[in-house]
Amino acid sequence: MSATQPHRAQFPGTIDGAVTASSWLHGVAEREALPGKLVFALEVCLEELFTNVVRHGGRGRDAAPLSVDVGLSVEGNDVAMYIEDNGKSFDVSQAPARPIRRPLEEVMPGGLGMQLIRSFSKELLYESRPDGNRVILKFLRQEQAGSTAGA
Amino acid sequence: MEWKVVDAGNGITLVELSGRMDVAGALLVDPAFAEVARDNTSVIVDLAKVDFLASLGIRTLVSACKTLRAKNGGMVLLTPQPNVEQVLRSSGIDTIIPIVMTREEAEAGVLA
Repeated sequence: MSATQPHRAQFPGTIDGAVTASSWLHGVAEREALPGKLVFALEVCLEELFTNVVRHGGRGRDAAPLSVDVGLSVEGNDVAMYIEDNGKSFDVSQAPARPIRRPLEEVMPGGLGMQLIRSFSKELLYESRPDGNRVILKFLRQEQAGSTAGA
Repeated sequence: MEWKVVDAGNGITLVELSGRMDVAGALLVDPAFAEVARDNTSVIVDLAKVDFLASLGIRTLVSACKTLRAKNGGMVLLTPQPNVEQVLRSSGIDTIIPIVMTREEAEAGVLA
């Protein structure tokens, strides 16, 4: 099967931008006829990474507004999602994935994003760039998305 | 994201959620959830019509459950869709907030 040209779009680094990006991703996934379980996994990972940029990315480089580029490529059974931002450098691949393993009284709300990304994706790669960050998440089109937990 | 709060009798409050509990949905429902947790003791959260959940939505559920538990109350999660259930279980939420599949289990669990 031949590779599909990557789909790409840029969104403002805001909560509204995250919502718009999710709708865009849903449309692309529909055009690519991706299975529903994979679409759900893509959406979970996009939301976690995008909101992480919004909350921690600070201002964009060189006084530019914070923005997030999202790309999706499909090649046979391999699906890759690219998320690039112009915010502060942050190597997300080094962030710990922490499932809840303690009594409720000791649990602080939040901090589960990396656990979900690791659970719902096959592989996570990070590239630091002069103009920001690039994260590549890999998935398998046919594999059950949640069976690849790497936490 | 829409929600309905129902008095289910026997001191139980039923919160029926529907839609996407994504970042926008979680921000929308969070104040209502905090109010439900503040004003009630035993809460069943019906997730049957929730088709998306991520970490910010989980944060809302955990915050409300902590409020309830601090006054010896409780929360259970009822009938999540399979994808949403996977989010809950892979994050470990099921170890602190029970997930049940019938209304009877939910009522027994929240009053236990």
